[in-house]
Amino acid sequence: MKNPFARQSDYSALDDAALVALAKTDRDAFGELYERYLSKMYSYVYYRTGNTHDAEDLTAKVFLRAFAHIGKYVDRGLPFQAWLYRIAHNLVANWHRDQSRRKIIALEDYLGRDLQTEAPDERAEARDEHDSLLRAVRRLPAERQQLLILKIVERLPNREIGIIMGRSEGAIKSLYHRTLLALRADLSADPVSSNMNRSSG
Amino acid sequence: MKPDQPATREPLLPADDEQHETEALAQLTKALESALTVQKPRESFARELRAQIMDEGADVPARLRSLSPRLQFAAALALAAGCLLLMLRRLLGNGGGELVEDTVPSSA
Repeated sequence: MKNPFARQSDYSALDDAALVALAKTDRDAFGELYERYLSKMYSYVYYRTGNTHDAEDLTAKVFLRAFAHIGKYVDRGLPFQAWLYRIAHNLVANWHRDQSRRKIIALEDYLGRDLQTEAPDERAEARDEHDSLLRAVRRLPAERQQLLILKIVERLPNREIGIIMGRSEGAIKSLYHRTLLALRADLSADPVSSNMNRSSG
Repeated sequence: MKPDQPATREPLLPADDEQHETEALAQLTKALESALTVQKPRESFARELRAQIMDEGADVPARLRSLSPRLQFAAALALAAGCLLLMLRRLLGNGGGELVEDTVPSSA
């Protein structure tokens, strides 16, 4: 007889679709999905809100909402993470609506670990470039920020970004190109980052 | 242009400018990749959120499933012992002993 309290031992071997099917009745399966997507959701929300406090708050809401609605989730062949990103996107949009003023990104949080091994002067210069770049990213319209996070941070393919953002693959490709051009134009007005542009040319 | 020559579209940018732009955008992409990196949440936050999700509206079977096999065995053993005790008391008739009157009389 099958033990009703038996634990599914190896969730990590299952793909998302199988886990989602299990997660409707088995919270340990949802726990595995949580482990898989926690960093992705947190990164996404972090870059969209610019601070760890709201990033944690919204990340918790993403997973609690997903857990509450997983029973109604219908698999239409789209990646599960697209569903999570949409929940996150809606929560972030509501959060921005609720904010009376936009917050500044805690830039010290952005310092890459690899930069800290550089010499102090190089590190300061690199930090300046990072700061201007991130300020420029924050000045982009929300949709373009979302695209950059999905493409650069999450490294998702255009097709999947299209599913999340409700656009075609071609439209994403074109939007990405326009976003880079807009970003470059913005940066060229900034003396620190125009150094970065010059060094490339 | 001669009439029999196929019509060709002029490039939007001269070749040099086009190459320069491609290089600049590649450099910008590289800078973005270095600036926008995956952020890890605090470990305590990740642990607490997971516990919160796992406990949210958990029913008894779900809570039992979340126990380790040893604890599951101990819980099953305790449950069986409890049931056995109840059955024995019922089989022995009066619940294992006579009812004791109130130790404090209601009146003198």
